[in-house]
Amino acid sequence: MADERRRSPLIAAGVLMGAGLGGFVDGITFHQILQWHNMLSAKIPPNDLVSAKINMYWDGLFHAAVWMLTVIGLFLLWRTGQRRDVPWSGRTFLGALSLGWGLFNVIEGTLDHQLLGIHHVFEYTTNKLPWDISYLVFGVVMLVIGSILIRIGNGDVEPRGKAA
Amino acid sequence: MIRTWKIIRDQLLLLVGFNLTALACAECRARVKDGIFNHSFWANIIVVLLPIIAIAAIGIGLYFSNEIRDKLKKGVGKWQTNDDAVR
Repeated sequence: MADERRRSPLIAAGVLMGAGLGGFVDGITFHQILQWHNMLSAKIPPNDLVSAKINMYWDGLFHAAVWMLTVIGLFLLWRTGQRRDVPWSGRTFLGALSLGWGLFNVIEGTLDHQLLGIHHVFEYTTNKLPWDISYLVFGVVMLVIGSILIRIGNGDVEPRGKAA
Repeated sequence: MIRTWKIIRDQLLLLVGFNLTALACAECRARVKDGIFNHSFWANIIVVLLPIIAIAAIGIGLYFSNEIRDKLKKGVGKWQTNDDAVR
């Protein structure tokens, strides 16, 4: 029975939700409140109303996509809650959320900031690299914290309904 | 039926943003639309969505990883059984 327990569905749901919520943190904090960058701000600098509105469109599309990621994660979490072969562990789920956020930072930071260069964390400075590196380092820290929590959650074995 | 398809098509276009989106102020609407729906539109879509698609693929792959592994194991097992039978 013990080897029939499966943790990956709960981790997968948490990773998708964590990545989606991490995407919202990025979009809301950096794009809208701090206004450090926009989705295509290295390509189309938002120096006037028209270019700001063009960036607003691409920011909106990004937000729609991370919303979809969160919804898929929520759907998978619901399905996971109905399975008796998946241990229902708060520590595993919290770890997966952290893992998802870290994964988002590392993948988005590597692709958008380093490889494609469509924007940088802090666009309006001469030296953008320290900010981009900090964003990646934060992502790696979240990955490590997530992995540790998932490992700790291995001790939780009861499926949903029996956990409480 | 054709009308239904037209509604579905319009809703899809609304989602992508050809017709009813980016209705910026009358002063700048034309320039905003030109800045979005131009030759680099699809390239920008791909670039903006690429990290999200990669993460979605990892997450969904992880969710079904047990099933995939089981199927692969069964496949290998079947293949080995057939191989033994031939011998």
